Amino acid sequence: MTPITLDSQLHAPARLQIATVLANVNAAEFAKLREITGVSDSVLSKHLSALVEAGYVRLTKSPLDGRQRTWASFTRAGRQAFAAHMRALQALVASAEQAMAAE
Amino acid sequence: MIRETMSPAEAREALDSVGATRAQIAAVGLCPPWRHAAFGAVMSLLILGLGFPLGVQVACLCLAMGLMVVIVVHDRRRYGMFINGYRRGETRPVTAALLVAMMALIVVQIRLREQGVETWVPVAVAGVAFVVAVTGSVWWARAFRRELGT
Repeated sequence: MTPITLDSQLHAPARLQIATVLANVNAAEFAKLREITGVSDSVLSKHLSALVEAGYVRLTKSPLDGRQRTWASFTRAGRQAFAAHMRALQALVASAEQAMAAE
Repeated sequence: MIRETMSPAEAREALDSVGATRAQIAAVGLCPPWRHAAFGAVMSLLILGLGFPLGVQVACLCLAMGLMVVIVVHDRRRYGMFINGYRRGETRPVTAALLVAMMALIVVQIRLREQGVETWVPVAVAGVAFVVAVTGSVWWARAFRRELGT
């Protein structure tokens, strides 16, 4: 079987959730990402920092209700990496199903 | 990028997790009726102004832009997310159709103004724009939810 390449930056479940959100919206607020991933502020910050470092995510600050809020959005590289990661996951599942059908 | 391995079962689990997250995002597509109406009001204001002299056009444009800001702030506050109407996916044909319809109404409105029609005519055209925009907004939200699998 040909090895399927997965993106290590998107491997962690919380990062995959973050990437799924950012692939479908233009920008998501920090609190919304925390709600969806169910992780703490510090853990979410670490995941976002790693994604920023990988060049996948861009963070911006903008005021809302008198407070500065952090908004995250995908870069082009992030969007492409997520699409490739999804294709790899689907290929992995498909190859397993084919192998089971062949037995 | 680092090569990593994952079992098919883990891959299936990851895909299920993606599906669950998409379903959470789809909630954004559940707009209250007034949100669709507000979008319709923005579009109809833009069309309405074109049927009148410059002063009214500027006033309608300012009102429409102000209302647009209110909508964006509301969406950001309520959903914690911002979604551009021009996003890729199943919603793009809806956006394109809405854009074509609005362009057609703009042409009609300008032609009617040049012909010097009665005041109620551009108001009626703006009314048509409202109905088209609200329908488009509802259609867009449905396409968004369908794309995200809900």
